[in-house]
Amino acid sequence: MKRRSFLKALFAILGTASVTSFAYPLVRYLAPPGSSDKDKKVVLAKADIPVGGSKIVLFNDKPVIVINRPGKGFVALSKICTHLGCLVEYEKDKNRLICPCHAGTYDLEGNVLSGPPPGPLPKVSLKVEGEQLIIG
Amino acid sequence: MVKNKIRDWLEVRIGLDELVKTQLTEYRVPKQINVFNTLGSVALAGYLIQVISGIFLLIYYIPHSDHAFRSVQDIMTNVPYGWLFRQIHVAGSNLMITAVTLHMITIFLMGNYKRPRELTWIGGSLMLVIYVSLRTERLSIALDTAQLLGNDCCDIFAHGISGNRRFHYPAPARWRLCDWITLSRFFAVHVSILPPLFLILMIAHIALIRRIGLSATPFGKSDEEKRPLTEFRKKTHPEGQPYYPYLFQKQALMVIGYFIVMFCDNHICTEVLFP
Repeated sequence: MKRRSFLKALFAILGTASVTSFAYPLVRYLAPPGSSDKDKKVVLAKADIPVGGSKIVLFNDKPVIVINRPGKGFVALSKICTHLGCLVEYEKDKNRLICPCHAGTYDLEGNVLSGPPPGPLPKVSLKVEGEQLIIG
Repeated sequence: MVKNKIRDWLEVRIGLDELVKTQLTEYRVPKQINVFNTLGSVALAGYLIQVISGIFLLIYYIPHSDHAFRSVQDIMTNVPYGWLFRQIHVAGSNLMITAVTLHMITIFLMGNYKRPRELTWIGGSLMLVIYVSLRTERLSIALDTAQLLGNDCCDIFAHGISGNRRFHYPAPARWRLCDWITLSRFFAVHVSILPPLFLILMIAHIALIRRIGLSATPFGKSDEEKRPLTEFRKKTHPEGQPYYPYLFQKQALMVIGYFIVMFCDNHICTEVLFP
């Protein structure tokens, strides 16, 4: 091996090593931290949500709306519209959920009433235990 | 080959060969040039390191008086490799003042600040002022209201300037520094006003060096400083060495040296020299 090609190879190896040793921490630093509480149940007090009221909680890092439906009890629905992923709003007086982006509407079971959404809002399992609501 | 294709593509568009020729290989510097003439490029590398590590810190830093200190602690402990980027920023700021000071001292001792290079020297002095201000703010924006109120605000402020805990402002100079508006202002100045100003001055500084030509004093013969200053004359050093690769090699070596010292002496700089 000639001295020149040896030095070139050495430079390439050392250069790659130093760039990698910078790149790895950088990728780790910039990558969003993984959530440590996967499927972690969310506990709410029943009294927090009056009849006709709602509360937004995070389950698996995604927003979920818990609604106390008049006469029908509690339900937990994904807040993410199935059309393009905007966050739907609860309209108390009309007993429905409406998406502000393209006016997709859902009833309080998550079924589509009108508008562009291709499917119903997914339900999140909700259990009532005594005075507590357990979501997830 | 792909490399040649890219080269040709650039050549016909921006005249790469001519650019390399005039700016690198035919740009001549005095033969007697040595490592003392590379300290400016080391300071430039130091500035770039500060900018890049600063941008990374911005991702996790929260400029609000209720969260600032906590977010800095998070960067140090929770964020993966956050300690690395913060320590680069901290050690870099300490080491950069070493590079800047050495640059200034050598330029002064070699007499390179003399006419016709006064403007370059003044630009450098302004950069020093900006640099010291940037260092002053570093502690202020890393602490939040509670921390500031718990200590004497001005002591912290002064500590940032002098690196000396026993340094106190005289009582009449104590002004209110403790609310979140102050923090926001320091933050804005620290990230969006002073660094671009510094960059502009640096571009002017380098453009002036290129325009006037490097000074050969005191190692080489120089008539530049003796002639009566009646007209502009660029110092071209026709007998000198090409900038690339001769001076460039020296600069690259010194910048690598800067990196080595920054990583190895991280502890010494942050804990011993500038506690």
